[in-house]
Amino acid sequence: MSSAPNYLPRFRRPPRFVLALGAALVVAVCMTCISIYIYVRSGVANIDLSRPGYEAVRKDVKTVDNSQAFSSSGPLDVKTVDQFNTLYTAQSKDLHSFDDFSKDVINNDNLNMPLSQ
Amino acid sequence: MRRLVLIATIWLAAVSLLQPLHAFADPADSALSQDNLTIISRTCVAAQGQLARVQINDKLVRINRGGSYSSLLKLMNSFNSRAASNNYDVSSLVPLSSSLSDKYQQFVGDFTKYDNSMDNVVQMNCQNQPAVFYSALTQTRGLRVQLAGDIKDMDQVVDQYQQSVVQFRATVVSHEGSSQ
Repeated sequence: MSSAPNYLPRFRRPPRFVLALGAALVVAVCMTCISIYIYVRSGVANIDLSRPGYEAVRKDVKTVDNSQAFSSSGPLDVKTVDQFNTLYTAQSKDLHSFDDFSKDVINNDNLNMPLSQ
Repeated sequence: MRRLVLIATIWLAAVSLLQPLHAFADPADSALSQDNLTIISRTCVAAQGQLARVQINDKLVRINRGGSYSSLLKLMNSFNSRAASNNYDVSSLVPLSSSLSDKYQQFVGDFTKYDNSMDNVVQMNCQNQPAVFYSALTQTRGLRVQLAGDIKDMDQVVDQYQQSVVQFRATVVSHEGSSQ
């Protein structure tokens, strides 16, 4: 028995390791794209102070959270209401110390753009 | 034929991409005199530096205010649950906490729009496009006014809730008095 010579071009299949590596790369790129999309879309990117350039303001972030100090279950009496009131007042007092996005901050005068009317 | 279709497609794509830019530039073009455009070109780079500093501070304000509103919301929800589980009428408290929750979501969305707009203003080539720059700046100012309004609304709800808790306390006092 003699077999005829095969003249058709023979494609060498890449090794399984290379295929697995390529597949892993594609999956990683897809996952990264999805993560970045969620990061930007959710608005987290707008308030991410861990990026370079925000070192100076990072220390000014306030992390006072009184919410864990008041339980959502248990008896309710005047003493408990007073305790809640103290926590609530302390937390809401902070709000008065923060800026309120005043429009004057970015008006022409503050930006040194003396436009004529 | 195929080449014609290709050219038409590229032309349509280019027109659709340039359309928002023209729409953006038109109002400022009509409102600004040549003198003002010259002033904007001359001063805008320094203004962009100032705006970049404002933007950094705004992010900090957003984070700090956001943290406080979230904590207040958690406190409100805990108090509402506790009062309801003790068979008190919480119909005056729940609408206020859900109103704050809605307004907070609105604030978060408005800040994202404002910050993206600010990014655009800070990064654009303002010396070559003074009219577009000023138009974008005007738009950003409008979004900032919206943010200030959101904060005013939320602070109002925070105060109202506190007043309601004071009234609620009177109910608890009378309830304790009647049960003794």
